[in-house]
Amino acid sequence: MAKKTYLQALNEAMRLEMERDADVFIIGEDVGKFGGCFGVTQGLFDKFGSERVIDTPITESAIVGAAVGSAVSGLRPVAELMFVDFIGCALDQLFNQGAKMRYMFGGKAKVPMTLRMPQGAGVCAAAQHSQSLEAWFMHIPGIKVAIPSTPYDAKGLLISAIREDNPVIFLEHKMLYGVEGEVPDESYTIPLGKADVKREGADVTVVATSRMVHSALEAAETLAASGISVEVVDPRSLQPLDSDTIVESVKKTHALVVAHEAVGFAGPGAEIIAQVAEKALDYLDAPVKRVAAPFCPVPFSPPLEQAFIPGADAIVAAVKSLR
Amino acid sequence: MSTTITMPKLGLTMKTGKVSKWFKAQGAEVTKGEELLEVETDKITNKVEAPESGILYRILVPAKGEAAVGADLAIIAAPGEEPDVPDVAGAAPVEKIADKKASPGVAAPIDAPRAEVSASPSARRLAREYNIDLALVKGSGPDGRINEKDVVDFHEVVGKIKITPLAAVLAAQAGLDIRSLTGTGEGGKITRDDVARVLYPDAVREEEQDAASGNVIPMSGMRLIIAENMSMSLQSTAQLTLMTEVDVTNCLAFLENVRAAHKRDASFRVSMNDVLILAVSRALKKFPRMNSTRDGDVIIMHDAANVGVAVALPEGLIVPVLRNAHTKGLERIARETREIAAKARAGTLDPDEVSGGTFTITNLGHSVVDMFTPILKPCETGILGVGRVAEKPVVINGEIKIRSMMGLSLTFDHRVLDGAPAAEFLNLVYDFIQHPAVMIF
Repeated sequence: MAKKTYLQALNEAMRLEMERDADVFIIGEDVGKFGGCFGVTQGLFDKFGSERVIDTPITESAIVGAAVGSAVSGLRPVAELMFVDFIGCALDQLFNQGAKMRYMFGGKAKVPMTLRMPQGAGVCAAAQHSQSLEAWFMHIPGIKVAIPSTPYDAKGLLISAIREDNPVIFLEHKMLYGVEGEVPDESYTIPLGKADVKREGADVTVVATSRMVHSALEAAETLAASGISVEVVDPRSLQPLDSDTIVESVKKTHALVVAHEAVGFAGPGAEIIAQVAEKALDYLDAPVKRVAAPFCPVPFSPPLEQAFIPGADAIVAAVKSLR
Repeated sequence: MSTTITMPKLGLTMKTGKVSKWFKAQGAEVTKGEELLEVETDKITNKVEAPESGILYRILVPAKGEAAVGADLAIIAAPGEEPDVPDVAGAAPVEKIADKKASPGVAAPIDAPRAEVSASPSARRLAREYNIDLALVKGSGPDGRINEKDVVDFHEVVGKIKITPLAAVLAAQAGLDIRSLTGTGEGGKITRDDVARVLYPDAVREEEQDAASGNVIPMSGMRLIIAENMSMSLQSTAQLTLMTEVDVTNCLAFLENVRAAHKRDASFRVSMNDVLILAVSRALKKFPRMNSTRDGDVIIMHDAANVGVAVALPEGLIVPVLRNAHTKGLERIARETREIAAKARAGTLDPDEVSGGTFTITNLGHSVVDMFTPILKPCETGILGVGRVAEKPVVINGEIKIRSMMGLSLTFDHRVLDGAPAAEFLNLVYDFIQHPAVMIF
């Protein structure tokens, strides 16, 4: 199998879907000739032309609004915002229009749109370009949230997202674009709402998302040397959330640590822990722990930003504190 | 350095204890090893010694006050030291105690704090499954938290302890942690004596000391448990006894016929007591309230007539239970009763075989006693006392006849049912005994 980067896997997913379905098109700032702010759409403008890879002015409300409108009219837009942090400008289009139409029109309207947004810290882009906002979108009925951690998952999930008849928020981590992994050339899908056990273990379950999956795997390796066997579960999508796989894992290991880069307070971990508390409290043999960013804006100063991002060390410490 | 005295855990099931008295007043000087206070539970009384010398700086739970196991009872401080008085949840604030100094010597009653056990949910789930009191389990997790492994280890250790069934019963009744016992029986097995030695150390010590004089017999072991059960029964129920004399001439003839029919079978033996069990178990099905037990404010009705049969042993009375007597015929009742009575004499009864009774029969037929006032087994509603069989002149149809008569004494709990239905129950047993053939129907 060929090694590809996360970025290449995403690009391939869009290309394959555009070849397969003429209704699929791309819309966003600099997604055309320039190939996207981080280069995810490069080559697609040359291949599919300006009709299907549409550059827009700097206006998130127009990008998301056009995506919602064209989706409800029968097309399958794949919209891109340069940074998730800019979604504030287009929130009404997303959560009051896109998320509601299928319900408010009694199921007669479909909104098959995908909204790709890079998030996460690590590139010294400061507080307005570095956030992890997945918890916002998890909370809105009517939209789905995918948050892949590996190139393989990125491709399979993006193809599923494009084929999905409801709005899908697709959250990519900037620091993962260069990460390599094995990715088949052909088209395949990974269902939204199906978690993946990235590493099997017996002593503690670490549920991690996005870039933190890699930190969790690193922590698992470190902890294995001290005789602690860590199971790493990657939900891959947060809405729908595969709580069955998480609960099953906790019933096996009897301990839970949740790791994400979003701030801890009311973050995605709060929901995951609540699900476990509701469904498997009696199996917990230790208090649950969250490994998450501190409750503050992402700092601009590089050393402070590094201190802000929770890493493998924090996961190792959290797991050890349970014992 | 101050020392806190806490409510000791005197047994497996002890949750709270009562400070029956303080031997020292607040502010008094105490010496290490000196008796400081007396603690009582519903089962036993124990004296608590001062763990350190110093001043009894503060009594937190006054005499007659109740406190949870592990709750702070008092603080001993060095002379001149003024330690912080713990401000524990549920207890009155320290300042309030200090304010009460206006009335010296009388400490304010304080609600004892609940001793919380720190345990993981998973450990709690397992403890429930294994029926383990978490207060006995030592936690190995952070800050002493009990985790699942601790419960599993505890379960495995306790499960491997060698103990005689009677010792297990006595330890369980007294709420004793059997891990704390040292076995002196065969292969280190824990025996009844080992339990008594721990439960009533003073009594055993005194027993040894007094053995020479022979004048003092301490209440200990089984004797003390019987004493407590009997006085508890009399103090907590409204019992009264109905008495009658029943003509058993026909019944004796019936027994004679049964024996004659099976005379070649040496194992086939049926006694008057077996007929009584048969009669009572059938009558209980017709008077279900007599087959009930009381638990607090509720009366628990039982489908099965589990009849306890009192067996006298040298060390005291024990009541093995014949389960589901109402479903069993005379031969089976006779055989199984013989078996459990033999086990009782051999001291090999399982805990299950002395529990779960719903009615008791106690028989003094081998004596000269005609009637008596049996005491209810705690929680049960009825007990039938059986007297001797004696030939007596009886008037039948205006003529004096010599008949074999037997006294029946039914004690029942008047809180659970009234005299009229109890008399009806006794009447039915009377009819059954007088005409055993009626029981066929």
